[in-house]
Amino acid sequence: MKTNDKPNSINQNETQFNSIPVHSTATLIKASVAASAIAAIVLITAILPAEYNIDPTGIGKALGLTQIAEAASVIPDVEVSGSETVFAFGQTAPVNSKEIANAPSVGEIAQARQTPGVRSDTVKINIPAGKGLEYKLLMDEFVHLKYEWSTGGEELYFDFHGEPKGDTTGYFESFSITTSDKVKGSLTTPFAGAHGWYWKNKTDSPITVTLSTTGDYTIKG
Amino acid sequence: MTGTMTNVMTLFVVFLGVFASFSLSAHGVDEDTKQFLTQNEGVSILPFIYIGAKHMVTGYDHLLFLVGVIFFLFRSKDVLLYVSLFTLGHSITLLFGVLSDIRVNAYLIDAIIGFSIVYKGFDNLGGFKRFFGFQPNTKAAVMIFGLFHGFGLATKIQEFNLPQEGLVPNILAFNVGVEIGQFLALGVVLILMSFWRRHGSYLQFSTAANTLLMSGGLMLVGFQLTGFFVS
Repeated sequence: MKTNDKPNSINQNETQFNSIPVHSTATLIKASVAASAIAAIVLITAILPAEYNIDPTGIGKALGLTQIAEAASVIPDVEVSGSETVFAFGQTAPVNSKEIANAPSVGEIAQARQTPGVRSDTVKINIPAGKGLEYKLLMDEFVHLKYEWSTGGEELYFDFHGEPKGDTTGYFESFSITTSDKVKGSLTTPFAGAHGWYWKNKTDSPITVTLSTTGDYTIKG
Repeated sequence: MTGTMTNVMTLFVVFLGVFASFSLSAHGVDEDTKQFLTQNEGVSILPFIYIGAKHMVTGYDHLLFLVGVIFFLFRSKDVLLYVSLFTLGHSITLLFGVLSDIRVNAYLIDAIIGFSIVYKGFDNLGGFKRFFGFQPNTKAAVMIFGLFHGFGLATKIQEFNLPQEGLVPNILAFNVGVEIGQFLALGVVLILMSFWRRHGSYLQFSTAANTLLMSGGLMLVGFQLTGFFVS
């Protein structure tokens, strides 16, 4: 072990710490070359193919690693990605998720209206005492949604609203704000984005909302 | 002797495996957390502590750097001192970065974090003394790299455009979580390393270990720089 030659070191710790082995130039060069070689090999054959689908050697493809990058690039590159794991505050079973398609044409909307029930879901959402919760559906522009929710008697303050897709300013549009124990209605979305409810339970006991929805949407939760 | 070496190698492989298994989740914040962060309104201390802790425990880049830092620290007093310097460094830039809304390119900052691992591996091999004839101040280095790691943490949390309401307490909570996570992960690392240190082969394998550390750092640099150029 070499002794420390740092001028301003004073105590024993310092000496002990700095007495790390100093290797010969040959060892150092070997270590640096080995480190660079391992890094280059792993980067080129595994990391770049898997992460970016950059595969100069073709090894990544042979190993099936490029599939990872390819799968990732299929997901639309938007902020409200439709491939999220669906959950609803841990109360409901996972529901099938579906990616948001591009906004439909007028003809497609008409067709969608004629064949409602692209999907139907019923979820139970537990709103804890004194708390507010949001439940959102991701929908395209001009899509029709039928909904119905009830609590079984207890009244809840709610705000039924939509947030445009890609918006970062925090803008949202409220469709209805009131207090009720049940609401039945429909909505034709004015813009693509997350549409749904904010419920606020002002009582001292938890309230369960049973929500049924029918339409072309993805559950955001 | 061979028995000991086998033990040590097994331990080392397990140890690297622990880090490798985190590789996919290391950078992003997973989907559920993302949901929470974008929907969150107001102050939520505990969730932010949890997110911070989780980010640190699964953030192998920060952990690899810390492994490099404590590699030749044999006294708990030294470990505490160096880890505190690192903590001080990253807390400053995490808070400063988020609160003054300084956005650093995530790929570049992560490449620098990768570089910090290469630096520490090289330093542990005695490379600076050998090649340049002097030892850069190790305390200053850990503090300075701590500042870069903090910017890295700041860019992660800024990606979510957190609402202004309750921002300061939430960020402080996130920072507390980062420290808790670091403490927990460091505990595991120290336990594993002190087992290994009981064997004479610790020093014998220190060259290989630090070479691998440099290699891991170089992979991160390459990964992040490629990301910077292709995105």
